[in-house]
Amino acid sequence: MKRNLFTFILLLILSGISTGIVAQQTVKGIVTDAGDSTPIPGVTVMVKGTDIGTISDINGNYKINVPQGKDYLVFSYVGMKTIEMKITGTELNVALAPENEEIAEIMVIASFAKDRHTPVSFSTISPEIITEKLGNQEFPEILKSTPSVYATKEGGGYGDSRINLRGFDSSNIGVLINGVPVNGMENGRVYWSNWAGLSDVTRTMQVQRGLGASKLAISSVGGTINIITKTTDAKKGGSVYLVTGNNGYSKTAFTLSTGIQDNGWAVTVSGSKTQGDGYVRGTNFKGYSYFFNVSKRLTDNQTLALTAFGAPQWHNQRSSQHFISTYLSKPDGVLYNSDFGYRNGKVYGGGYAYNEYHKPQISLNHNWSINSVTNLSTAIYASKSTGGGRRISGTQSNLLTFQYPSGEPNAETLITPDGHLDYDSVMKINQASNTGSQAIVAMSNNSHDWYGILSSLNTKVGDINITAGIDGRYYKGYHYQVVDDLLGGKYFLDGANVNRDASTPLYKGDKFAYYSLGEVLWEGFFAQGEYVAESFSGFVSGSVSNSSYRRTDYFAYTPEEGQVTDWTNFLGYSGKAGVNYNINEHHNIFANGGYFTRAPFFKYAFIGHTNTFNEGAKNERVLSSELGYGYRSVKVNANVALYRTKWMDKALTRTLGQETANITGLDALHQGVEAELTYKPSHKLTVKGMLSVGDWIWEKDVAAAVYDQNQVFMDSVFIYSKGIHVGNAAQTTAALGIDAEVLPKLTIGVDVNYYANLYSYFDINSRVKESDIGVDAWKMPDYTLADFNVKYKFKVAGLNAAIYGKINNILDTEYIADATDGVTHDYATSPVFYGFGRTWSIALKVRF
Amino acid sequence: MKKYIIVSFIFGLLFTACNPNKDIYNDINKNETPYSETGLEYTLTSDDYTYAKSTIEASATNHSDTLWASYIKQYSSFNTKFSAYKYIPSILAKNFPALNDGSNIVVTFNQYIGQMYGDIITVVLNDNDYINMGGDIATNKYFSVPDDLNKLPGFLLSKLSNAEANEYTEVFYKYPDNETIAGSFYKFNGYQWTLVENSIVLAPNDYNEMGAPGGTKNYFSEDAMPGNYLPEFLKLHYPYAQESDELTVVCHLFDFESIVYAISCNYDGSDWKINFPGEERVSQFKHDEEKWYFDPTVIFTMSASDYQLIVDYVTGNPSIPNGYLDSSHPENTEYYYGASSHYGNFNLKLSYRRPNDPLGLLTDLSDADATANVWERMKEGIVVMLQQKFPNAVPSIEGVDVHYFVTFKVYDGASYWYVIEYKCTASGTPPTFELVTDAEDISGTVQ
Repeated sequence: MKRNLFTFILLLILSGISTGIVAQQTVKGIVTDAGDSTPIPGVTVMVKGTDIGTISDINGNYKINVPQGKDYLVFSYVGMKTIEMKITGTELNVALAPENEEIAEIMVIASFAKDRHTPVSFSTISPEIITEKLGNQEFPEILKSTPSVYATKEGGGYGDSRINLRGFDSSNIGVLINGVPVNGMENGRVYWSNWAGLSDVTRTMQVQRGLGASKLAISSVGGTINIITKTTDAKKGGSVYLVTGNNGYSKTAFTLSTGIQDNGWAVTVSGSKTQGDGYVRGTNFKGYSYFFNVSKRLTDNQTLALTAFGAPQWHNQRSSQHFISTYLSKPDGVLYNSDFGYRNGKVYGGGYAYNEYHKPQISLNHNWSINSVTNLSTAIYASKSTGGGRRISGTQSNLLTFQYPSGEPNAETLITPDGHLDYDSVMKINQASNTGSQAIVAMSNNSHDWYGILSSLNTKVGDINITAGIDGRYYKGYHYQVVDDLLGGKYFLDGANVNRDASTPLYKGDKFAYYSLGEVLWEGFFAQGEYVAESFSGFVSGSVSNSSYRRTDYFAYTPEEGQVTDWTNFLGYSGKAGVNYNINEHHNIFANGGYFTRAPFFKYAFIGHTNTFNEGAKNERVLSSELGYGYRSVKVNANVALYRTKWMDKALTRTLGQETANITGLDALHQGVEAELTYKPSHKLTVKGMLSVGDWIWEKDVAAAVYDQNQVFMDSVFIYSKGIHVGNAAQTTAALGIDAEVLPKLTIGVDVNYYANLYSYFDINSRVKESDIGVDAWKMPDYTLADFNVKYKFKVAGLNAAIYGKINNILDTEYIADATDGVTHDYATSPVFYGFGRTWSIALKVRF
Repeated sequence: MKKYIIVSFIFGLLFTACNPNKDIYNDINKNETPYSETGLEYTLTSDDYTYAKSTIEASATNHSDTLWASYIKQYSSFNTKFSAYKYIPSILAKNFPALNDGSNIVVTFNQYIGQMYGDIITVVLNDNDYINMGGDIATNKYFSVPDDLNKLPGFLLSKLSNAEANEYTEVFYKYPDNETIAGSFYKFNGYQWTLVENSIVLAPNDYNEMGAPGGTKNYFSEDAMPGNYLPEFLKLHYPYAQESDELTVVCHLFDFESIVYAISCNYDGSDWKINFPGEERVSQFKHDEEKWYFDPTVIFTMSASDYQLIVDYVTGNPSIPNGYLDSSHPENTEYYYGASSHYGNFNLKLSYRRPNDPLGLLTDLSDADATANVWERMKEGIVVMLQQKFPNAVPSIEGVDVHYFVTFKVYDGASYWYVIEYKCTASGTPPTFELVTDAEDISGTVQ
């Protein structure tokens, strides 16, 4: 009996051991690039359903032990499509195809960076991450966990956010949509409210820090934000996306795709409507977005695609910052918005507190694979915008405005007992006036027409990839104020137009105050040579651009005097080079450096708002270099980068009497270190960490002697900027994120962000007081925020669906996001915007 | 294990996200909601007077300052040289360091109201004076019998021909031994000099007896305060003193120059006590976020006696006919200004005012105009009340304008409370008051 039992147990044990020994097999193979059959080192090979993995070696070979019962291997590599292959024997060779094959051509035009290949620091954000993490935040905030990013909502209005990269604002960040630069042609800025629908139609997104990989002559001082929208999706189908959130937020969006039909046509249509009351008082909004893409495969080698998208919106805003003590004294607290009142029971934003805009962009993309190594990509695009922002104008505009930048009311500001702009009282004043309205609502119009062509030819000569192309743009901006609402008066008087009698009564729709046009003609040529060897790739690129400016002023000059200037030209050029070396399948290092000069922005080409050329306007210059390191393994991805960017001769003009002096020497040095780490201990858990420590300083004092045309000394100009920290962006940021699949189909994520070394905004040009020597702008308190998100995938009526929940600032931390430095450089005289408290959204996405 | 480390790290981080603006908010609260208390009362203690003395001494530049500073301590009273209003703020700051903007304290303190005797003239009889008195005195050049003193009133009349009423003088004369000097104290009432009762004048012998305070000088000083010597001296000289006996001691004080000082003393049964001629005062001090300051503002609600002042004025004013007095209660209610101490209000109801209007001030007026008329007269009545209540009102005290906030009740069928603000613009008989802020209805806030 005992012996039987003993034998039984022994057999059991032995069979168990045998199972262990026998039921494991080794599989090996080679991983290659489907395009050119070259081996790919560093590919992650995992046994599906386990945490067993390995990476391919320098020759693309891999070897892995597969437990019994497991039949699939998963092959993944950044930038390539992840595939699962069934194990059929002990050998398994795999070819990987690029992830975004359909948009491969656009990615080339847009100079999307490739992992372990392109020698720049970059972070790629997939659309799934956007859906999971964005929630109802502003689009630029999706980048807040990437290094050296400081993005805030500013006043809190829909689309009023801003992003700084390595301490530089949007005029020093190149923003490309499908490879086309969208920075304003007159001032280089990007207004995210124009692109409010982007989050719904983004196919992939990449932020390249520093000089970036773009071959175009764009102002990538801080970096480049590269957004690729949906184009031709191979699959037929679509999705519906419904979102609800705090303060009445709701979004309804849909996408429909025909997929590539047999006849070669493919159409994708997308639309959305978003509205809400706004988190801050008086910031309600409504916006639509539409996206339309139709493409046709003309021949085997040619495709033609037409893309059109736009996001018409209106939104009430908050533009006045206030002192902390002011917020604390108001019933609305940090939600206080001084800039609106009520008319007919509805929120009515005042000056700088209402914006409506529509900027549709259409582009026609032609792609021609001329032969196996040569490709010509051309985009012809056009954009026309309408809309503007509300202003309060008139001799008594002080009745409805607040002081800038303190946010304090004027002595004359009329406020109702419950603290809002008193339009009713102003209307009475206007009604009683014998000289027309004393304060009116006007729209400040800054619309534009913009046409461009971007064409690049890529070919291979020997081992070198050559790219050359042209970037041409014509832009015409219209600037005027137009009477929008007389606020109870009979008419409005304005004497700013020399071509119109000052006593002419003006009514709704009449232009006043100023009416000018700014035209920009831009011709750019660029070229790049890229050498790719087995473990090594390097590039050299250069560009030359000519900016021509012409100004027309219909109000300040008579036609006889001449209202149109001649063209004035500025030449800019850039040169950069970079090299990446893959030490082995785990490690790579890279370095890049470059120098570029940039034509002064339109406003600096002319003296004030006049047609007089600023004869000595100077180019700004940038010198930048970067050193980076990457580590890739099955579970760990790490990147470290050191950068040094010097921004020289920031535009500085002084007007003394009749003379305008252009002063050089205002330099800023932005340098720092960035580190990112992604750790995947299992397929159910991802841990991400980021740390960026920057040291961004204005380098020198500027002392210049100004002489008039006869070389007679006029005055000295001093800017005491030496050693002052760059403001308006956190110089130290850190992030920690954990995403875990806690149950099948249920993923939760926590993201913690830390911001420090944040100095308030200040205008360096105004640092003229000796008492301010070496004194930094007010250093705002460090703060830590935590966000939470949850995703649950399920099926409804056989369709794939998912619920996304997002809670931003789950701890409801009260923090100051933006501030303007005051005279005492402390909180008492520096007005601020608080960041948002706890906000949330719940979304449902159904794919069909 | 790794997961637990990561999770606890996250929670650690989260707890640091508590309140980034904590320091700023603390700073703002400290500055903007200062600790304050109102309605406090405080009586200065001897320590406080000592403190005031030390404060003054620390910056005293002359002998006189030091002397009078020491009197503050000795007599627990402020004096004409060092005003309470100037030094109480620092005393309050010392005693109530935590109190800040918005606090107020009513302080009781002593203030020397000036020598009751004015500037006392010193007369030392010289040879000519004796000769002018005639008789034996002229020959002796001393007073030999007590009756000789009777010559002094007449003598003073001619010697001090410009004397005015309520002036005092001390007269020194010699004794028969030609050395001892004594003195007596006289008061002029406008037509003759009379001896001040219960008074003594300290002469050189007395100072010597007291150990020559101040060395060989015949006066007291800050080093030799009268309070340290007189009680003993008086005890010795008046061993049979009875409780509440009073004595006025005329002596000399050195204050850079010698001045004559009349000190009132009284016996409490066991010791002689010096009555420093001061009075107790009660004044309000407020804190304005920087410091304490004297605030002479008078704030009160009219009481029955205040309304009575108006009734009395109407009764005694010949130009206001008695027909304005209430027929049933003429002693406490009148209808010229509308004041009634019985009801404690101003009655503006026209059904009462019109029938009681012998001068016909309301005849021919519409109800609206009549109401306006009685309203204006009521305000005149408030001024009348202020003039009776504060006959010695002055426009400003210690440089601070004196404002009066008067709360009163009005009846016109229903009762309402108002507050009105006046300022004294001139003292006089009667003083002049001017309206600063017109009557404000505070009915909602008064129970």
